[in-house]
Amino acid sequence: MPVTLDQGEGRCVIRLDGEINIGSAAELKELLLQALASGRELRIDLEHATELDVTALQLLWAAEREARGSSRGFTLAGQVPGEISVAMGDAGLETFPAGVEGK
Amino acid sequence: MLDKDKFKQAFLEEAREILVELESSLLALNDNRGDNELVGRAFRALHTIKGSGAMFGFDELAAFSHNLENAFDEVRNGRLEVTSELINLSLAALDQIKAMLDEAAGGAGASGAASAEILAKLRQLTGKPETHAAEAAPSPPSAPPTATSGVTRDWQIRFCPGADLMRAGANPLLLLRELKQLGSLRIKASMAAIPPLGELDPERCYISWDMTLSTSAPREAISDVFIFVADSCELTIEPGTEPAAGPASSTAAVKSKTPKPKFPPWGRRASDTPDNASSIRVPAAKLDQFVNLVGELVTVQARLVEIAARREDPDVVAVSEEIERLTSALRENSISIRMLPIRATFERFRRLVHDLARDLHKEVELTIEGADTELDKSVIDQLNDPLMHLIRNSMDHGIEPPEIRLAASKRPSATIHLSARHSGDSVLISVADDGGGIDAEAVRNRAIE
Repeated sequence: MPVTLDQGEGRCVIRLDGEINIGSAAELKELLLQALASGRELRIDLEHATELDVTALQLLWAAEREARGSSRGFTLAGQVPGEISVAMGDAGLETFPAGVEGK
Repeated sequence: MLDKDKFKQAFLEEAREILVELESSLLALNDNRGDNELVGRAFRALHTIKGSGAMFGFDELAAFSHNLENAFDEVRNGRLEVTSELINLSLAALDQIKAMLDEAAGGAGASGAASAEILAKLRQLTGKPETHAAEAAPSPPSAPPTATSGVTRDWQIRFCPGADLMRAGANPLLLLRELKQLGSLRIKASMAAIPPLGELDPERCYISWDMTLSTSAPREAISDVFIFVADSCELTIEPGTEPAAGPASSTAAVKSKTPKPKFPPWGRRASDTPDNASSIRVPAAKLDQFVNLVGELVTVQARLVEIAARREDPDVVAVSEEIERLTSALRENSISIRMLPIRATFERFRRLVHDLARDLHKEVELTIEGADTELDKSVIDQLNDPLMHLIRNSMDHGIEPPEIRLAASKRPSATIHLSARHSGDSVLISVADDGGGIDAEAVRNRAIE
């Protein structure tokens, strides 16, 4: 499964694995909605992601906006692979999400 | 999944049409070797096939086309001359691309050895190394090698993907990366159109981009990056306020705003006029079914007329007459839908004439008249073989080698004239040549043997 959700105490972690593209966008959206509905802090683990396309980037961006709008935490877990940082840069999104640090 | 398979299928159909155009351009180029417009058409056809092929996962086809496209870029930039060798090699490559498309559609496999041989010859011709699949395919649509103007200037580019761009298999990030290859790119994403998560269509691109590109490449090179998505996006490319270097440009502001999606998303071809934009592609089988149903309706309607006449009920007669009028209009309409100009069939023989002339060491020019004459599709389908045999016969036996023609005070180059014209309720199709005609003596001798 390229996208998985772990709901722990106080926070939800969504793990993205491999290529996250239009094929997994609907699933990612569902999990983000579930995580936001839980009221917990949301963490996105990109450590094992190899590619994020536009559909994934805009879903994460929308989720971050909603999490921050309702004063819930939205952070990235672990380190962001270099290629993901490059993809974000290529998309003109160097500052998104807050706290992205390339390897 | 999604509409991807549908788009792939449409790509295969579209690519075949592009190949027909490409073949026509190559053959015309053979006759007019200094025609830059034809070189540009060939280049663009290859660029489209490469880019859209890569976009839909046909990496081998994309890489192969890329090599040929590069050769035509060399021609475009005056570094390579149009020769018979290049034309013949390009035609062989075109056949190979056709075989790859057939393979992708479930037909027989294209020969890898043939591809390798063509690419080796292309390398010899251009003196350039082969571009491998890994270089051409992963970043579709890859940038066409571009002539630079020598002056670096800024361009303001705004790119707003349309609603279906992602669904069609396109990837905006690849386009942005490709743009980056042209020069120094400053890029700003606009996220303003992204709706709340619950309302967000996960397969649609909501992000748009404003970019400033400093490059010495011409505007055409920038728009070429977006060639395959031109109909699925809004794109504006405007010169920056001041050139980054060099003298002030006299270029007028150029603004290209593409229309809303109407075509398959891999780009618009030069021949796509507004007329084409309002037409749709229908499988021939569906059309046949439609015509058959209209035929059955005509039969049933004739029975209704008979019954109405027998009953002498004015209401039934009135309805019957109305249905008769509508059925007649429908029948005429369905017949007209099946009428096609004979142009495509005629034009196809240019390649046959070119290849046969090369193999037989004869010089032959094919002239065409009345290509817009319309015929029923089923008739056109059946004309191909007889016309092919007539032309082959003419070239094999009727047309003399150049030296014999010269000795007979004829031009060394022979002519085959294909024509179609209306005559009463028929269409007359003729094949004429200025060769030596039938050698009656040879025919008689062969008959006696």
